[in-house]
Amino acid sequence: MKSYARRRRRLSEMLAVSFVRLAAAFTVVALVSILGYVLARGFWKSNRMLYPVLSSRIDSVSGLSLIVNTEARLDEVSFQVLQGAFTDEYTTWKKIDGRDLDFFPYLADDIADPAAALGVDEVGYLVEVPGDTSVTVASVAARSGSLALVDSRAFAALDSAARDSVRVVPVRDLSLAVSPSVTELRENTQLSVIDEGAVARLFSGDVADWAALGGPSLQVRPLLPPPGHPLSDRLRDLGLLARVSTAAFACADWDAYLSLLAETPGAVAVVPAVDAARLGLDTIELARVESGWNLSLRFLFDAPRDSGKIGGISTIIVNTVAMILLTLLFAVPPGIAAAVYLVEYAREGRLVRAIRIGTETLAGVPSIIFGLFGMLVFVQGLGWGISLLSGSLTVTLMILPTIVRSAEEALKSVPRSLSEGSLALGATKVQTIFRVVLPAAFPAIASGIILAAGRALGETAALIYTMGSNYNLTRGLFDSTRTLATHVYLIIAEGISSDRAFASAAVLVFLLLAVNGAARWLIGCVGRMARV
Amino acid sequence: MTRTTSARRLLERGVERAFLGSALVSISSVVLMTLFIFRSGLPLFREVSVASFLFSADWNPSAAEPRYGILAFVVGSFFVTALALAVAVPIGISTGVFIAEMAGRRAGAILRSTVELLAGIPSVVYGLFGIYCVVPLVRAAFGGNGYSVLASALILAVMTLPTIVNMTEVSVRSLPRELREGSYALGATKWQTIAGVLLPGARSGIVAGVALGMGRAVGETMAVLLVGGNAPVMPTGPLSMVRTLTMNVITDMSYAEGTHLSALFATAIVLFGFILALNLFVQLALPRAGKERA
Repeated sequence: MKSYARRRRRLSEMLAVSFVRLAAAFTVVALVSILGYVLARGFWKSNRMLYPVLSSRIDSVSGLSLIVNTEARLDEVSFQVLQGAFTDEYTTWKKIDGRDLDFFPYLADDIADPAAALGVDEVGYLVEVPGDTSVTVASVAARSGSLALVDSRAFAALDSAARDSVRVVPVRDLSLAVSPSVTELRENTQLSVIDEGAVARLFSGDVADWAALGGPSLQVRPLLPPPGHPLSDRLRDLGLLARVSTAAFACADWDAYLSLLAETPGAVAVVPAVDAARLGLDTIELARVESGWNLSLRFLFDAPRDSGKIGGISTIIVNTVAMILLTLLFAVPPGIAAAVYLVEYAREGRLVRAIRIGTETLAGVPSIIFGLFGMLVFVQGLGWGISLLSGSLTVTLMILPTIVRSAEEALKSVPRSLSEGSLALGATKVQTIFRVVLPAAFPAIASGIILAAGRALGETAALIYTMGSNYNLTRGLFDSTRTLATHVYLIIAEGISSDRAFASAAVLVFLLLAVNGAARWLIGCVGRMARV
Repeated sequence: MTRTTSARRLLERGVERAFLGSALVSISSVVLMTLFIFRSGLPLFREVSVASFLFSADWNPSAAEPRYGILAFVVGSFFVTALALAVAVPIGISTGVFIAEMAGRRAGAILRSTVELLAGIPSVVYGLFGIYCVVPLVRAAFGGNGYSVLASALILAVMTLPTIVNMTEVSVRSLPRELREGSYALGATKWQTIAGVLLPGARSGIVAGVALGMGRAVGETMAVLLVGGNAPVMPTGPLSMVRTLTMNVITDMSYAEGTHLSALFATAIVLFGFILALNLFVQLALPRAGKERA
């Protein structure tokens, strides 16, 4: 009986101890998963993108090549972008490669029927025709932001210097066309997108029914292009001919290919996008996962444009540093002075108690209240507007308690004998404080200041209505200024892009880790000094 | 000689005054803050009665007949905070005790850095993590759209953890050695010592930690703004969307005017009043906790 009670007690003790261990482990797991998630998504992006064309690309579409100025930042274009480029859809490069640069489309004059080659009624008004192929190439090479369509054979005939002065951009020109029966609207749903990986399974027969991809219940009937047609090679490159479904049709000629596509329920075929556009075929969009580095040097060193939709965060980083330096300039002297007063001058009493309570209370005030106070006093009351100065002063009040507390600790840990020795040598109290006590406490004070800077670095709520959101380089104390943390918030709030939010947040986290490391290093210095 | 001495004395006194002035910045900021926020919020009550402001859940400042009732936000704030503390308090106290009593040198150092880093992560980063990780998890596990009381509470639980852990650790550690030794001498096991002697001994510090954590949770803005859903309705359960007092202040601040604006400041008065009361409680009613921290 007794041993039963003892065993039960031991069991409950074991459970309690393992809960404590589990809780400690949870704390570490929480930190690692939060930092890990933010950093991972900051560095690596992976998105499901929808395209109207397959991945297969080619340098020459209907005998024409797309050439661009070498500054352009694109590796390939879809046929639809190519069409748009020559029908006045773009006036800048923003939507194409993210540069805030004017868009200049050229056509060489030796192209017989450019509109037909692009599958449009006529080319746009903005398209210029500088001359023959070599003149066009020279124009593209000379003007940043320009691109041109040239005859592929005439371009290949140019000398290599001329060819190297521009870049040929391959075009993704194949659509996945289906019989209208496949994209029919049923019960308010319609098959409009499939994963690109599913295309091979359609052709191999692994997916035999459209219902498996969310379409109608129809047998999949892949069409094979006529023998010897250039499309056959492209299909082979795409891996669509490795294993062919028994339900596939081999077509004798191009007309049969198109008519079978229109007439066979469940038919699917790869068709050049220009034909699909010209004939008004039903096509299916293709989804592919695009992964790559998210945070790049370019992102760090480019200035943000267009609310941060394009460009990087360079000016925002500079703004953040300016805010922090200004804040420290305002907060450090009174913070240290207050600590000196509390440690060296004050005698325990009502005043000191009030000062302590005030400092502790200030430390507990939520940042949104600081924001309101800053808005009432600095922005409106003193008339400084939403500006770097108003924001910095607001954050100054926020970090003041941190500095006072840590400086107080640092000053208290300076051995009494040090200041007594100084006083005994005839130094005044002020001399002792400035020449003896403060230098001795400096590393510990500095580490507290650095931690306070970390708090300023991450502040958002107090800054939105005091420092504003101007992402350009701040021009002075009275200019609205956006910091990194505010940038992260605004990018999410404005729904701009999760990749950009995570990249900025990763930079923020990195700066914080650096700040933390610096503070820890300084504390290490103190420890070593104490041991010596 | 006398002139330099008196000049020096003047300097000494001037410097002391300057130090005192600096020490008074914090407390005068708190006083000014109170004055300014009350001055901007109180005019509301010329048009709306205090009772209908506090006890009505009908918030519709842009209606033809605008209504300013913040009960839903008060309830939202406390719902979110209570749920967050329900998660954070057991974990936080356990972690604090673990660091103070059970961890080896290495584990203790790792946990202490962990807590320090958790405290240093900006709230906007917590919010970002919340939107893209916690909200989808809540959506997958419980349905709904994920932006909810629960998601906010989970994020806030992690955010309040450092305060609770630190205060627990410091107050357990500062207990006199004899207490532990006496308990062991009576034949108590380690766990009996922790649960029966140390935790009760450190109670006031732990209560202070929980109270300060509560203050942080109630006052948090950005993280909950991103994951709470911000619908101005009375929360009906852990999965319903929520707007807290802080969210209410920041949401309309950019365009509010007149009575609407003073209603936002009045919301801030409620928030600020609660935080002040909580802080004064910690510092006046729990004197030991104050000393441990100083």
